[in-house]
Order: sequence, then C-alpha cells, then structure tokens
Amino acid sequence: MAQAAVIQIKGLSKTYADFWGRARVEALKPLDLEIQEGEIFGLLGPNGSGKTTTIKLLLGLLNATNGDAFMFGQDPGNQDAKRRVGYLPEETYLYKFLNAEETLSFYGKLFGLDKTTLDTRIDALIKQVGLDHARKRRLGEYSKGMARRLGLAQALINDPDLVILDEPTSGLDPIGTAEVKDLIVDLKQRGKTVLLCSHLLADVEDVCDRLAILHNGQLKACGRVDELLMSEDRTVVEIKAGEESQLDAVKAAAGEALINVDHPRERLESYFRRIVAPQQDVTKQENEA
Amino acid sequence: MTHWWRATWAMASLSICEIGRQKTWIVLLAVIAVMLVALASLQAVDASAQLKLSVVTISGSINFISTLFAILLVAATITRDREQLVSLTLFPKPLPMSAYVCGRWLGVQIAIAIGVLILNTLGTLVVHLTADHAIPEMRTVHKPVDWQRVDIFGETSPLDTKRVTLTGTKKGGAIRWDLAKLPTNQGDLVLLLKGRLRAIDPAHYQSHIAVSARPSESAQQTLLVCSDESPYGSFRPDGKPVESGATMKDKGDNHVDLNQDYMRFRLAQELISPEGTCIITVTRNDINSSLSFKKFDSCLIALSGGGFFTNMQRGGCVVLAQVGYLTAIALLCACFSNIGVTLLAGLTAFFGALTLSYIQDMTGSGKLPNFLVRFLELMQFIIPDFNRYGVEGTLAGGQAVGWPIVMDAWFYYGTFSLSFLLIAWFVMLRREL
Amino acid sequence: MNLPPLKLAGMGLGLLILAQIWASFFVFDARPQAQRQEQESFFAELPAGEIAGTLMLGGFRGMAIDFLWLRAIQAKNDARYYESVALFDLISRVQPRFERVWEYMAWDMAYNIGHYVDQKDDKWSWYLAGLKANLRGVQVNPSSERLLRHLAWMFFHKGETYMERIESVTWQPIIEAAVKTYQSEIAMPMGKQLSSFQLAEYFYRLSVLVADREESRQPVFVRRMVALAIDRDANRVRNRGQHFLALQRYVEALQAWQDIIAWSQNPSGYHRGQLDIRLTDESYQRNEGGLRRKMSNLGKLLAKESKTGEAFAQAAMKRDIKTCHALMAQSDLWNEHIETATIQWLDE
Repeated sequence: MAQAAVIQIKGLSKTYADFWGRARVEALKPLDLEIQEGEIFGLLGPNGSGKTTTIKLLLGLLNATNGDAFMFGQDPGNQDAKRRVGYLPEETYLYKFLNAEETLSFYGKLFGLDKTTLDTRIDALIKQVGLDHARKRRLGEYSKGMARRLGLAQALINDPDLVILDEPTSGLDPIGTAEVKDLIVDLKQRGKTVLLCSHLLADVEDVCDRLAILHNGQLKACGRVDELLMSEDRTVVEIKAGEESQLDAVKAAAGEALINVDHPRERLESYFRRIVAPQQDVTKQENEA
Repeated sequence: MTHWWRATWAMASLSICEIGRQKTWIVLLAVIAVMLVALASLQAVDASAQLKLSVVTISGSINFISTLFAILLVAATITRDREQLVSLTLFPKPLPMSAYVCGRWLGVQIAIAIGVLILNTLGTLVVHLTADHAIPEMRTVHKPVDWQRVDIFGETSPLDTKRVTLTGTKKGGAIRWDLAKLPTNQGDLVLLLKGRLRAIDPAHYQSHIAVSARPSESAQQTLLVCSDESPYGSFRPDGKPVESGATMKDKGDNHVDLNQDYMRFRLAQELISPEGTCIITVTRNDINSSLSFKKFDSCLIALSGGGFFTNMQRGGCVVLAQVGYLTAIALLCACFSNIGVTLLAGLTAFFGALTLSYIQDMTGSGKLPNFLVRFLELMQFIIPDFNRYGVEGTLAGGQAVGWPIVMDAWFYYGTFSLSFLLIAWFVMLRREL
Repeated sequence: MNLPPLKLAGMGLGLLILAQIWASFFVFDARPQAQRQEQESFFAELPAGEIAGTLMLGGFRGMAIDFLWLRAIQAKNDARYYESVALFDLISRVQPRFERVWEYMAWDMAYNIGHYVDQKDDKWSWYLAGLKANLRGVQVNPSSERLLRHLAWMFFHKGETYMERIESVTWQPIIEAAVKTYQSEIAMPMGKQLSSFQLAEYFYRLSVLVADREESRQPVFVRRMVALAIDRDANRVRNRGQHFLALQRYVEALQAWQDIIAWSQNPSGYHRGQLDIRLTDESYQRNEGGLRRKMSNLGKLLAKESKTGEAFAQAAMKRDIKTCHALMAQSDLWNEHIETATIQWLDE
C-alpha cells in the first residue's frame, strides 16, 4: 500500500536578511524532501547545517524565502495541521512558574482536549516520562533532564500523528536516552510518524528508517539507513561461541578473501544498560515509594 | 470560534497565574501602606475638606498605581515569552495569534481588575474610618431637556445657546428649564441650582433670586426656598435669613461639587406631573448684578446614585478602560522590542495621556518650533486623554459615576485599545522566531 | 638591587605610609585654609521625614514633581482647592528648594481660595495659612529674596483687609523660625499690635538685604516698597488719630526715600543697566513729593506754635531730616493729635 506523504518539501529555501533587507545568511538552500506516514525519519547534520531552520519552516515559525512546505497537505502554520503535530524544540522552553501537571494541562487546553481526556493523558504521560515524583514541583526547580522529559511529554499531549523531535536526548543520561529511543520505536509501532533531528549519529542509527544529511544548508544524502550504511564490498558471518570447529571450516572456505576473525564487539550503550539497569530500577522504585 | 475562545481563555488564565506567582501582589501591599501613610499626613482645613481629600487621594492613588502596573505586567510577561524562547514551544501549538494577543491582554486586565477591586474595597474602608463613619452621599443628576428665556413681561422665547445671561436695569427677567422623565414614585426630589454672578461692586457679589416650580404649563407656580442642607442661599449678605427665594453666589463652570457648589431646594412630589415633567423658573430680583446660567449644568435634579462603594467600583471600571489602552500599547511594543523599550513606551504613553490637555495648550501657544508642534499633533492621535472623565473629582464632589460614563469610557479608550491590539496581532503574524 | 618583586612592593608600600604620616603633621593645620568653606547643609532645616522624601525618589524626583504640579494645577482649575493645597504641600516637601511652589501655594491659599470661601473667618484662615506657607518656604530657603519679597507683598497688598486680625496676632513666635538667620542684621519687630505695613516693611528690608548679600538681581521697585510701607503705616496711625506718631513715621519714610536716592546714584554692580534705576519717574514724584507735602501740612497742624510748624514744613520740603528730628525731639512743641478741623489729606 502506498504510504501518504506526511511532510512534503519542494524547493524550500531560507535566507536570513538584516534590518535593511539585505541577504546575509543562506541558512537553507533549495531542499526537496518527502517523509512518509509511519516512518521514523532522521535529519542529520553538523551545527548550522539547517536542520532547525527546516523544522521551523515546517511549523510556520519562519517565513520561507522560496519554495513550499506542506504538513498533512496543509500550509505551514495551518491550525488544523498543528493539531496533529507534536514538537519538542532543541532546548526545553517551558514556563518556569508552572508545575508539570499545569504545563501539560495548559498545552492540552490549547489542543481543545476535554477535561477527562486531558487528566487521563496527563497522568499517563507523567508516569511514562518518569516524573511522577515531581509532578507538583515547579519547573524552575527541575534539572535539565527532568525538564527535557517534560518537554517530551508536552510534545505528546495531543497524541500527535506527527512528532518532531529536535535533539530529544540532549541532557539525558544514557538510561534516559535509551528510554527515549524506545519511546520513538513505540510511536512508530503505533503508526505515528517521527521526524528526528540530531547530530548524535548513534541515536539516529539505532531508530531511524530513513535519514537525510544536511551540510551548509544543502542536502547531501537521503535514503534508507541500511542502504546508506551497507558496505557492499564485504560480508560478516557470525558463529556461536563453542563452535570453533565450524570456524576452521569457514576460514578454509574463505581462503585469501578472509579479512578478519574476531569476537564481535558489543555496543557501549547496550553494555551500559546491562550493567546499570538493575540499579536504575531499584532507584525508580525508591522514588515512587 | 469555540476553539478561539478556549485558547484566549487559556492564555488569559496563564497570564493571571503568572502575575500571581510573580508575587506582584506584594507591590499592592506596599501601595496600601503608602496610601495610609499619605492620608495621615495630608491635612485640610475642615472635616468636609478632609473627607474630600481622602476620597481624591485614595481613588487617585488607586488609579495611578493600577495604570502604571499594567505597563509593568505586560512588559514582564510578553517579553519573557520572546526572550526565554517559550514561544518556540507555544506557537507550534494550534494557538491563533489573535487569541494569544487577546488572551494576554485579557489576562492583564483581569489581574488589574482584581487588584482594583481589592484596593477600592480597602479604600472605602479607609474613607469610612477617616470620615468618622460619614461616607459621602452619592448622587446622579438628571438634566433638563430644554430651556427658555422669560422677559420681564412674562413672554417666553426659545434659547438655542448653551449659556444665557440675565442683565439689565429692571428686575423680573427669568430663565425657565423644562424637565422630563422625572421619577414619580420617589417622593420629594432635590433641585440643585447654581450660576455665575458678575457685579461691579463687591458688596453685590450675592444676588437675590426667586425660584419657582410647577408641574405643567397650566399649573400654578410654587415658590421654593432653600432646604436646610443647602450650603448657601438661605441667608442675605447681612446674615439675616432670606424670607423668600434665595441668595445666589458666583459659582463658575469649574465648581462642580454637588455638595458644596449648588443651592438645594426641596421639589415636592406635587410639583411633578404624573408624566414626570416639571418646569423650574429662576427670576432675577437684583439689578446690581448679572446672572449667567448654562443649559445643562445650572439646573439639575439630584437622584440617589448608589452607595459610595458601588461608585468606587464603577470608577474602577473607567480606570480599567484606561488600563486597557496602556496594556494594548505596551503589548504592541513588547511584540517587537525588549522590556526596556516596552517600559519606556508605556510610560511615555501614560504620562502623555495624563498631560494631554497641557500638550494641546503648548501646541496652540505658538512658542514651540513648527516641527515639534507637528510631532505633538500627531501624538494626539495615539494618546487619549486620561483626564476626560475625572473620576476622582467626580467622586469627591458627591456625584455618582453612572454606567453611561463607564460605557462611554470603554468606547473611547476601547477604540484606542482595539487599534493597538490589531497592530500587535499583525506584528506577531509577521514576526519570525 | 636584586630583591624579589613582592618584597620590593612591600617596601614601597611601607615607605608610602610613612610619608603620609609625616606629611599629615604639616597638612592637618593647613587643611581648613585650603578647603572651601563648607556650606551649611540645607537638610538641617528639614525634618527627617522630608529628608527621606527628597532622597528616596532619586532621579525620579523631577518627574514626580512635574506630575504632582500638573495635577495640582488641574485640581485648582477644577476648584478642588483642598486637593491643590495638599498637592502643593507635598511638592514643597519633595522639592523644598523649589521657590516657585512655596510662592504659588501661599498666593493660592491667600488670594484664590480665600476669595472663594464665603465666611470671613474662613477667608482669614486661608490668608493666614498662605502666610505660614510662605514663612515655611523662607525657613528652608534662607537665601531666597523672592520668597521674602512675596511675603512682604502679601502683607502690604492684602493685609489691610485683615488689619484688625493681624494686629491681634502675636507674630514673633510665628516668624522667628523663618527669620533667625537675619536677626543679627535686622532684628524682627517686637511688641504687640504689629500692623500689616510694619511687617511688610520688615520683610521688604530683609528681601533687599538678602538680594545684596546673594548678589541676586532684584527689581529696583522693591527698595521703594520699604518707604511706601512706612508711608502707608503712617497713614494708618494718622487715620486712627495718632497724629504725632504718624508724623514720626512720615519722617522715617522720608529717610527711607533718601536711602533709595543715595543708592540709586551708586547702585551695586549687578543692578547697573536696569531701566528704572534712576528715580525720576512719575511714581517717585507722586510718592516722595506727596509724602513731603503731607509732612509739611501735618507738621503745621500739629505744632503748638506756627513758627515751629513753618520750620518743620520748610525742613520737610527741603528733605532736611536732621532738622525734622531735632524739632520733633522737643515734645513740648507738639500736640499729640488734632482735636478738631477737617483735614484734606493729599492721598484721599
């Protein structure tokens, strides 16, 4: 079944001008991009490559110099389209004088959610992001990580069809980062579309289906992760431990084509999770108590 | 539309919560303390003047502080959205920009309204204590619908001017006012009368007049005498009581104190027709001075105007209209500049509005350079007159602040507010984050 | 020398301190001559609450004054005198050096509000309140000839309306706080039943004294007001039948005119070039000439013998004050007052 395009970008460009209208910085050169429904799309690039500019143009926070952008077939800034979008900015900008419940309640009201739905959702989201112990505390007293979690919660308050996450793991510890990645995968499984913007390559590699790489405002590469990262000039064979006799057979069969035989290396992140996860669960249970 | 109201109300609630949690109510307490200290130190010559001074000081302080506050609150809240980049989280939501602007404006208005309500309540209490429990009586005034001149032969002629003078070397010239729609079920009413007096000899600075009333043209005239509560008019210059009529004194246009500047007469119920009409005639009996009257200010019927507290609150509504203007202009400035510029612009507008009449005097004086005159004339298009309604003086003078005044004030200041809100909305639509 | 830098710095600092101590023995005695004379703090005249008011507002004082002033004018225009007076009072507390506000407040109370109230007692109350406000202004602005001049004018111009009440007031306790800085030069008038003209004369003299001391340009007519005040006071006592006392006052007035003439021929530097410096105008002719004629007529009427009267009249017309004094010192030559006859006074 052909997937509908949630985001369509055609020739979109942005040049920042000064007070006198003179062009100063070409932040985004003409960009063509499509993001399909139900996929996790990664937008990569170094600092200043135009990732955040692209997102702001999509959300109508900036006016495009040229080109078009559409979300759910609507112009940027369309209120109906915004109802289906959740956005987490690069840094967490929330009202410090509100607590977690009030923050989610306020943003929920902007989406027109009724009280019952809102209360249920607030409760679930606060628990999901692990802020149940601090729900009544004002945001001014939150740590960066806690604020980031709440930011994520506010991005999901309206159960959006499209979730735009700009550096979602910024400020989070490795456990938190992993939880966010699990959340992203969970969103995909629920049929949501996720646009993930990051310059942490490992995070993107783990969760994204497709990705695009921007550099100096220009699109350098775009495609499926597997396709982009696959090395076609070699093949990896994995054998279980204890089957060394089979290994000799493989070595003999490979002959001169054999490059390397070694134990595979675990990812640091998964190693860390294995070590820390049991203690982390205990700490969580103590906080909840 | 429902969504728009919901979003506006959400923004307004947020503003109120923000203002409350900023602890700005501490400033309110400081204002109350200053008010009480100021009242204790201000002195007047007698109890009546002290009461008026209390009323003017309290209502003036409340009005001044609340209007100034509006600028501070808007500057603090709106600029924070931009400077702390909360708008990056806010505007991707389905929040119409008009709802954001209106919601912020409404939130500040409600916060100020709560403050004004509290201060007015406390102010009423302070006046009550200062005045030894004698709260000033508030009256509304019912104005005549028409007037005519009556010559010494009794012939009437219509008047199309707003001021008329009785002069000449013969007694008997009179002015007649036609009153209509008077209440017929409130018993005896109070007739208020004043006018300007001119005499060459200072000994004639008081003039004898005859005041009469009748319910209709065909009815007989009844002479009226000053009531016991009349501040003047009952005694001749030599100190002896007037046997009939009254002794009028010179009370100019700026003498508008109902309790002090108007003679009072009891208008019996029988002198009012069942249709609510009455004809009042004032006859000049002293050839040594000329008398001058105004159509709508010289002859009034005083009706009960509600309690002092109610009128303070209605006066507060007029102040809220002024606050709305300042909130709107500060909001506009906050949309594209920082807190410093917003405060400066708001304060400039505030003081400009307070001194608009003097600005107008200066532009017409011929003493300023042309470019400055043009600039000040342009400024008058965006700055309303905060002295237009003179709520403090009205309250001190015992005159009620009626709902028509409140509505007129909201219409006048509201036009300015709406214009600035529209411009703010437009600026926000074009603004990039 | 190869000393570490820290040690060197320490030595240098030590030497500097020693030098300061040594120099202080010489500088200490010379300091009073070297320093400018300290001005007496004007805050000394203000009570603590008013000091707080002037200091607390800081740079916003000017703006607050402007606002209060406009509001006070608006209140006055709307006949809310209780408010305008309170506001002027507040301005005078915040900006006590603002001479004009004291002047305006005093004038407003005595003239405007006094005119609009009806009862005579109320009129007097407002007039007295105006005088007291002016006195308070003088007290906190001892160098202001303007305020002294205004106070004198209020006594001269309006005082006659309340003459009896003014004479019934004991003025010394009321004015002494304001005039204590001038006591060494011009003593305040003592005694009871001081007239408005006597007080006007006193304050006009003070005004001239302060103007000369501060070298501030003062309208020249102020000096003439001293003589005119004495002249009016003499008329007052004359109309009450104290004719000989009136004659003495006329002689004092003539002396005051002589002082003005002498001054006008050699005015102080800052008055040179002013148009009315030379007293040859009609005002001078009318007042000083009329005074001499009054003196000669009254002298002739009061003298017991005609030759005494003639001698006095001649001396008066020639401005021979010495002879006038000498003749008047012989009290047996004069009647205290004239019992009969209708006297045509030149100023009636």
